[in-house]
Amino acid sequence: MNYEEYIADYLNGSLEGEDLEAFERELAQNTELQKLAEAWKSADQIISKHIRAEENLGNLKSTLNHFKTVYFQTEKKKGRVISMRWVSAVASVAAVFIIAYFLFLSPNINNFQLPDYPNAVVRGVQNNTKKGAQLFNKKNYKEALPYLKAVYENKPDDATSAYFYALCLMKVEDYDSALPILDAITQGTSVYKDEANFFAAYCAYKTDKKKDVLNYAMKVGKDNPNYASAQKLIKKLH
Amino acid sequence: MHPDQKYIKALLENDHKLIDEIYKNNASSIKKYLLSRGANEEEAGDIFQEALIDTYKMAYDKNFTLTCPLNAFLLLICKRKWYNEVQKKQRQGVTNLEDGVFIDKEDEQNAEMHVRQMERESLVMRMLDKISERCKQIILASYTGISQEKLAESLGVSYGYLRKKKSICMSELIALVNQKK
Repeated sequence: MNYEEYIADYLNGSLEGEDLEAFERELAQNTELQKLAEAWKSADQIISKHIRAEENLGNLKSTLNHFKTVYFQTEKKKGRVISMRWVSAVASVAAVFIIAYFLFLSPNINNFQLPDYPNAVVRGVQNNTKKGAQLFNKKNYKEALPYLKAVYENKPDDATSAYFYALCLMKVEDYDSALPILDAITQGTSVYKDEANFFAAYCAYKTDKKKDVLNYAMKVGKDNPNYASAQKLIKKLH
Repeated sequence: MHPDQKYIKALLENDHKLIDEIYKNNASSIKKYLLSRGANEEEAGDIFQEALIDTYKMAYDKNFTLTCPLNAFLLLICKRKWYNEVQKKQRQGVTNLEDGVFIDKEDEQNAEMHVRQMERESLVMRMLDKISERCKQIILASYTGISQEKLAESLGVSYGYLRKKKSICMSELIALVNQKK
């Protein structure tokens, strides 16, 4: 028996019978195992607590931001502070909508804010990039698709071309084609990497690739605006 | 338990009235201290806010009992945060922690004990960010509420492998934490 592997089961009470007896016998005499189990238990409690705290931090942060402007800014700014009664009321209503959204609605590509294709309005040559970018920014995804496809096929290693082509594919619900392109971006070092993890998780969710949903969604950082949606996708795996 | 425990509860319950009191009673003295040490007003506000957020996180499981006045506790957290900030950015600022503010010896010792706990917790979370991506993913995934069997299935590995890998990852995390202590 490799005792270290059983620490988690021992700590969460799922170790039973002969395995439990063997583990406890070893624990009683093995000081290294005792130290590891103690440190494990402590780390486990800290991580669990901090993850839960982080998930519910939003409302407190809004309150603290408000008081920061009151107590740490100039006198002039103090006069512009909105009554906390209004802040509370607005926050409560917003919280109800947010909770309702996350509890009852399924993740939907139409609910995600997509970025604009950069440099769409550049004077001079009319090329596929420019045409595709302008159509994309006007949300004419079906029309933008052939242009963006041509740009991507011409420069498959260019992260911007790949990212916007993949987003366009998602918008026309071709998730199977979008996923491998997004996957390549998640493995690169471009500025789109973090966002690509979220959209790849979404494509995996839409194509029922559960293993991939978790892989991508877990990599979406807490600072990403789609972090909450990524967590929601993970919960959908239950 | 110190009577200021009510402020810890206020942070957990997002009680605006009492949180306002926290700022009213502490912001001015702590701001004065930080400004005298080279911080600007915005930095002072950020440090004070971070101190409150760290307190909220540490107290989140409702097992934290404050045994000194909140002011002594917050002042010590803010001092340490500013010290770390100055060290990290190698910027100009006074890193001497002496402040001339009188705090009862026993209160100071209790505040020190709380801050040490806070720093221990913060170290674990920082090291979690430092371990390999796969290990971080496995550890974080185990807190999503998904059963270990389902998690193994979602990750495309066997339950036995997941258990073994998690054990290796936790050992890696613990070793990193011990190394940085």
